[in-house]
Amino acid sequence: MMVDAAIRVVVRTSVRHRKMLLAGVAVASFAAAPSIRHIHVDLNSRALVPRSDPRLASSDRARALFGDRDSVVVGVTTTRDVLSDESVSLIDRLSTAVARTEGIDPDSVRSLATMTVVWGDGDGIHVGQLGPRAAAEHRVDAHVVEQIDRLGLADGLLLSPARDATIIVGNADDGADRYRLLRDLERLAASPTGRGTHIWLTGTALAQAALGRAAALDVLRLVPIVLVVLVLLLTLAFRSVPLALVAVTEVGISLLWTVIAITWSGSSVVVTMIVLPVLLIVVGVSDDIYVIRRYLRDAAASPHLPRERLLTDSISSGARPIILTTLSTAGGLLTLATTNLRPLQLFGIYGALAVATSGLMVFTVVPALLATIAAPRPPRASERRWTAPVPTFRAAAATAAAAILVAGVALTAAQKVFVDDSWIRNLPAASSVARGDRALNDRLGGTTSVDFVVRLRDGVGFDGRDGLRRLLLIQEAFAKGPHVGAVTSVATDVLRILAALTGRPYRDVVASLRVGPGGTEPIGDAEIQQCLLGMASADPRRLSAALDADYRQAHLTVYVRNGDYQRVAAVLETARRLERDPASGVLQLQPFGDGWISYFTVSALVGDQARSIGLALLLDGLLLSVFFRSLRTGVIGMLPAAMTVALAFGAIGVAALPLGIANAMFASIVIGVGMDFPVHVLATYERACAGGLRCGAALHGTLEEAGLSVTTSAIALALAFLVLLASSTAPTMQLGLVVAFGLATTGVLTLVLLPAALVLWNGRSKPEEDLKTAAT
Amino acid sequence: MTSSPAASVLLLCAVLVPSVIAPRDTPEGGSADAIVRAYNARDFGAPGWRRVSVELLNAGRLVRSFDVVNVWRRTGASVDTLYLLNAPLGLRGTAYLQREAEAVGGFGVDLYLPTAKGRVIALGGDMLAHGLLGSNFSYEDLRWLLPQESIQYRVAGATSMLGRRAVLLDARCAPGTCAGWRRARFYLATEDRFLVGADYFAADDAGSPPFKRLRVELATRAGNVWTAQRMRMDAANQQSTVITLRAFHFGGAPSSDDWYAATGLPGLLARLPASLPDAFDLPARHE
Repeated sequence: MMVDAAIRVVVRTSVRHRKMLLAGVAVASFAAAPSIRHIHVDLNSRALVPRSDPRLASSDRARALFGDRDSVVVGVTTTRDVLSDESVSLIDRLSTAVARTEGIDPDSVRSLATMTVVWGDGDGIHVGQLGPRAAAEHRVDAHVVEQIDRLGLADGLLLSPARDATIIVGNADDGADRYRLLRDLERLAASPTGRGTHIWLTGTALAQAALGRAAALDVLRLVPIVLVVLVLLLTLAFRSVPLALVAVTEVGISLLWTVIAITWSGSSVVVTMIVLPVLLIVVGVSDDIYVIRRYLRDAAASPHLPRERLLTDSISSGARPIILTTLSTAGGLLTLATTNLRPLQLFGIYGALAVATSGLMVFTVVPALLATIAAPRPPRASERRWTAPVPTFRAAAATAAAAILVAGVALTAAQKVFVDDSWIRNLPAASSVARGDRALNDRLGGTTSVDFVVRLRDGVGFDGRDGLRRLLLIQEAFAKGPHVGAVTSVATDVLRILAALTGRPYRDVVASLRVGPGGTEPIGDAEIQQCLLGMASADPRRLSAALDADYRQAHLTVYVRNGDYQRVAAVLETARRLERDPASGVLQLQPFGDGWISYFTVSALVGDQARSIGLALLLDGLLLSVFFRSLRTGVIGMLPAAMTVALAFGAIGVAALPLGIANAMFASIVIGVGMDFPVHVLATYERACAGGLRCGAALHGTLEEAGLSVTTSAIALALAFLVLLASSTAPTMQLGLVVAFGLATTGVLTLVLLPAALVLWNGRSKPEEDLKTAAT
Repeated sequence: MTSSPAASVLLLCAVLVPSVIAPRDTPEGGSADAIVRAYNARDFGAPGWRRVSVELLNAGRLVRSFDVVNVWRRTGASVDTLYLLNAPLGLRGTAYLQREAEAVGGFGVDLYLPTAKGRVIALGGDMLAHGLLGSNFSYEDLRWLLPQESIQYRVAGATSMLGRRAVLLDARCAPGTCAGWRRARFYLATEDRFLVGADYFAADDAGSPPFKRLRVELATRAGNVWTAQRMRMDAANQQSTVITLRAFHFGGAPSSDDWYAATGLPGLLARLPASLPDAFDLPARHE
């Protein structure tokens, strides 16, 4: 009762001092709004994963050991030979430009131009980089081309087997401005080339920037569309533009203040949070719909009541379910803060803050705005008469049986749900990075890399025949993977150096090492040590990126074509198999790098969100039980949202939609937002029962009073979420579709399953008889 | 003079830039160019030989070591240096020939790896910033002479190092002409014209920390020639290289052209021990 009294005071004060309140809110908003320019967007994929996770710490150590960072890839495809003088000259020019680009470690840049080549015959051979050599000679000499073929350098890493594509790859500095990097490199990619030659962009660092840019553009585009759609829908529902604007203004202010809070707290916005504004607008408007509907109904019932009194009575009498739905939605979002993942934590914390702010606004700004605008037109008679039917006991039993059956089918179908995601696939198909990635994946060994630190049993090092042979066999085991385009390690480098020094074809040298000491031209420890020394002399950076200082830990990279979660998972499974096989000699294959971090991020985000579903349902059930002082009501109140989540997972399973970072959030949203529907129905029902009505009559009144609000709200929210279909990214579109489906389903289940459950829980009492009794 | 094992401990010189005492020509107070000219004109014991151990350390832990015999000669304004690896066993016979002249582009390195079956590799100019044997000492750091072309020197002050007064020579390299560094500070012992330290910077701004730092930790004198007994190059990545002199002889080593031809590198292991038995008397370390 104290809460009711306090809300009453707040509402009355807001209405009475509406001008002062609205002016204060407006001034505060305008004064603080400019600060949101300073909001920081963190695009580093490292920002998405928990800092404290020991696997990530190991990955960081491995990255530091081998100098690995987020990659930037500039590709060149041509209808002619990439090794033509013209193409090599272009690659040399691009390599220099990439190395000079701010945010790229210049020493990390590798390309055909920086590739170490050997030339000359007879007693003397020369070692140097191809680019400067070709530039000095003004041509790529035939000997170098022959050597590239002989050494098997067209293996899909730097050079495609068909010699129609090549890449320039570099490392982005950790603190580099990825947007600027993408902008600079897009300018570079737009530079003129010969006919049939194209420059492409890809790599994790650029994909992050492209995704961030797409998401930001989505927000700029979708927020106005969502607002317009909501204004239209609410105008239709309330038959009043000003009332629709009241709701939209309230959520706009809540959102603005949340963004200001994010800025002032110094938190970074990560990619997964960029969809938050759209989400919060839709979530925030939900309570407004109930408040305004109730206000319209009360205004029609008491047309002569003074506005201040009407607003105070109407809003404060319906405050309890709004407080509960605010608490349940904020609580549901806050459960995300219990996860170990920063993007989910931030999403949960600031989402909860926005919902709480919106809840506060419902009792302050909304009544102030309602008092300011013209008096509402009473609802039409047809609207007032509309109600969902109260089920008979038999119908309720049939509904329950059908629900159990459908839930069973849905849960069975949900077993087919699988996790999959990819930075690149999340990009708009027309983005420069997505196009570049497609073009290069078609021709090269793959642009997704999964890195491993290889440690062998018994401390065997890689500066001897045994260690290097084992490394070669591990490499070959990975290469058998269905989507693996190339695998590389120091074994490849050493054997190529040996082939170059001895003039033997690379494949023969590989065969010699594979066969072992019994071969015709065996490779011994001395040869390997000399090649390592040659590598240290000619390309020490490459050596330090391939081996640790002790030569006991090797860096192995597996390139995956069109890499995604599933394909990376297959590579990791191969690693686990090798670790289990004593014959492989592997002590440990520790994954790290771009591909693994993406895999780990998706796995952790989706897993944590899936786990948070249970917590959200439990929390909401507890809140409902406490609020209604009945465990039974708490359980009944959970049914629509729980059933919807089961149905949605079933639908996702049947549609074979992959569950990824973005669309895995749907369950939390559906539970958080969809819980509003049963709360309003149950609160109205409880009030009706408290008024002395029996089950059937109470239900009839409830459905008459809350049914239209639930229907309006479900339709408006579902349609607003469908606006996400206009997003440029597939996961956001999927999220919009699944949430819209979920909210519409929750609305229907609230009006069908919830009454059936209430009828059944009330035992043998016949609702139809209650209705007759009430009528008499 | 031929060093005994005991004497070698005391009379160490290193691969980098040994130097000479020339008190009569002390350039203190002279211009930077005069200091560089005087430094390059010093007697560094050519033709001479020495045997050193090169130890690569990672975070203070020894990870690899090499036993190297080093022979050099001076011909007018040019210096040729041979490096022959004596250990580890797998690398025995690996040889380098380093040629340096004061003229622009007068620096080159040839490498011979026994597995190359008689073929010698000429390292491209873009590789001369890389470390010898994978150490922190680049080929360019191992020059006997301070290059005068394309580098601007300036006397930046005086300091004390290794118990000596040293002049601080600030060197700025024209972009694209020096491999590995843009700016360096050389510490030259004023009295002895002996390089006792150096700091190397990747950028023109010497305000940022150097990416590697050379310090002579112990030095000795043989006749007019001062040389480092132990010196250490520390890099920013916790990697260090320590070069320790084990034996040496100044003023007596092969100096004819056939020794210093790239084509001679494959046969160096067969020829040099016979010509310089004292240099190979010591047991190889870290076999």
